[in-house]
Amino acid sequence: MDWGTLQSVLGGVNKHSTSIGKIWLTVLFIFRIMILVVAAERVWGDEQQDFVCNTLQPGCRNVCYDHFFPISHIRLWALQLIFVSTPALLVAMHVAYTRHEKKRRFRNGEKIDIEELKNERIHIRGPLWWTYTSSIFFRIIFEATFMYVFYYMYDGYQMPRLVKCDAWPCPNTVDCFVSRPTEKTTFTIFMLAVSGICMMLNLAELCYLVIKICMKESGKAA
Amino acid sequence: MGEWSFLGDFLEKVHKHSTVVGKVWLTVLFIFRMLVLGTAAESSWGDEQSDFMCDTQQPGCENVCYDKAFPISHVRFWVLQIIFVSTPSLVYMGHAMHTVRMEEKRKMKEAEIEARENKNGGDTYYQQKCSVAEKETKLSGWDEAGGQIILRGSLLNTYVYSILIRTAMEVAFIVGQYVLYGIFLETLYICQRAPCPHPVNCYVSRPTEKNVFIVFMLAVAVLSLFLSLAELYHLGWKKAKERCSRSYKASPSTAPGRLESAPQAERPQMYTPPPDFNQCLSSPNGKFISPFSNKMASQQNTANFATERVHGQEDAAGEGPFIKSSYVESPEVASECAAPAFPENYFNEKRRLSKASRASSKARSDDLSV
Repeated sequence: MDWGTLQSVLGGVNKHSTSIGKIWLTVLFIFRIMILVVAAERVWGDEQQDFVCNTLQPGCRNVCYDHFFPISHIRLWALQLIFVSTPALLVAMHVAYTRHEKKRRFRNGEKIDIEELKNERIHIRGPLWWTYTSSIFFRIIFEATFMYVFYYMYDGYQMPRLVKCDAWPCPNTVDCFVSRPTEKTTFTIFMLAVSGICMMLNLAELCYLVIKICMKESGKAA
Repeated sequence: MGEWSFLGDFLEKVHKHSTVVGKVWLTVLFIFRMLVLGTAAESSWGDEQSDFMCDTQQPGCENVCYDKAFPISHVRFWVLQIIFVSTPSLVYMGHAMHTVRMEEKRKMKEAEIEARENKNGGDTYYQQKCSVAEKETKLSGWDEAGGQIILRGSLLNTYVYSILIRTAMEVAFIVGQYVLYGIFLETLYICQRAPCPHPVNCYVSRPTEKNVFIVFMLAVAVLSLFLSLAELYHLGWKKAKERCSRSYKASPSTAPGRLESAPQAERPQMYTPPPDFNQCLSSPNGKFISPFSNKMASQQNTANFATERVHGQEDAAGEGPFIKSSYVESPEVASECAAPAFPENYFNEKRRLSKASRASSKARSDDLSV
């Protein structure tokens, strides 16, 4: 999976984020994407090959694996990371649109310094504030949804060592053994903890933005 | 190594703003840990489960025995170790970037005020400038002239804490590795766990090669720990030395006509500003007047003035000798002032020497000053 593309896209958004947003992005890249790529993919690498069932019945092992792991943890985490990063693209699009508008005005004869336009750090005000805040809100929703999906799909966050399977064509209830359950549990809990931290950061950022705008409004009113 | 690029990119930035020992530590991290892990250790541990053989036909016995023998693989353990040990540096980096941004904001504010004042015009320009500069709380470390971060104040504290936490993490992981696996891997592992019918012999794949890498990574971890402790010692020793030397030279400053009202007692001779500047600005009633009609000259003098204030405050805080990349002095300006009469040692002591630069006083631009 090519995460470099995501990094280049989100790197652009980073310039227009708040400090908390920048911390969130760093945590995302180092503690989630990097761990996923460097460590977790290796741990889950042999999950089907080393899924062993106590039966000689052909096809039983395949069916049991499919029954207990409808979608692998790795793929689910990859989807989670993509969904969670996507709202930031809204902000990037808005910023690009604002710049495009300014360029258009410049071309129509208004006096705007083109150099300044390129390097300008756009402040989070007005319509951009709404875009930014809604992107954070969606991020929180996606995080929570995926954490729940994990919990629902795998009955908690612990990887069992032994699963009992009686799906057809297994002739009876067979014992199947999962590969590396302890290591998988360790990484599942680690990724869960980092998701929780990211969610806290998003909530903090949301509160910060709301409080800032309230103070500004009350300052104007006063 | 491509997979490590996410962390590598961040740490490159940290590399720029570290002390010498810090840079050595980062190099050790990059080359002896990340690179070795990514290229060599991964392939050595690649077949760890597929070639973990148990002397049994019982299905599932190998799986559970492997899981019992290796709750977490060495390679993943080292990955987590590297990430957790690098994290404090990232926190320091965040603080440094924050400092830089605050400094940029301050400059922008000053430029705004200047533009406003120039529009109105007037004698109160320097007065306002001084009051703005005075309002600034401790500038925590931005060398305007050199564009380099100077470690002092809260930034130095963050740096020290980051090294302390890094050291603690390093120790924790070394101890953790010992608790989990001991030091060496045995070839034979005897396993008794359901569904194995009895204690079975299990054989680890490539134990000798793995032991070589385990010892290597342990040695590198100990080396990193030693480097962190050396850096702490270096920072602590410098600070203690400066406190001692400061308590010795409690002589009042002889610099004529300094404009700032900060305590003068400890200012050494070396930071005397160019006399012509002072001669211009000192007046009988003590009021600040700007004799300069030239805008650029006055801007440069403003910068010099702010820089001197910063250095004055810094000396008062007693941060001691450090390598600066340059000393900004006021250029050829205002003809109203008398011809400058520099003290004889002025040019020689423009840049303070540190112990490390005995041979040449040339400052290394990428060294962080403490």
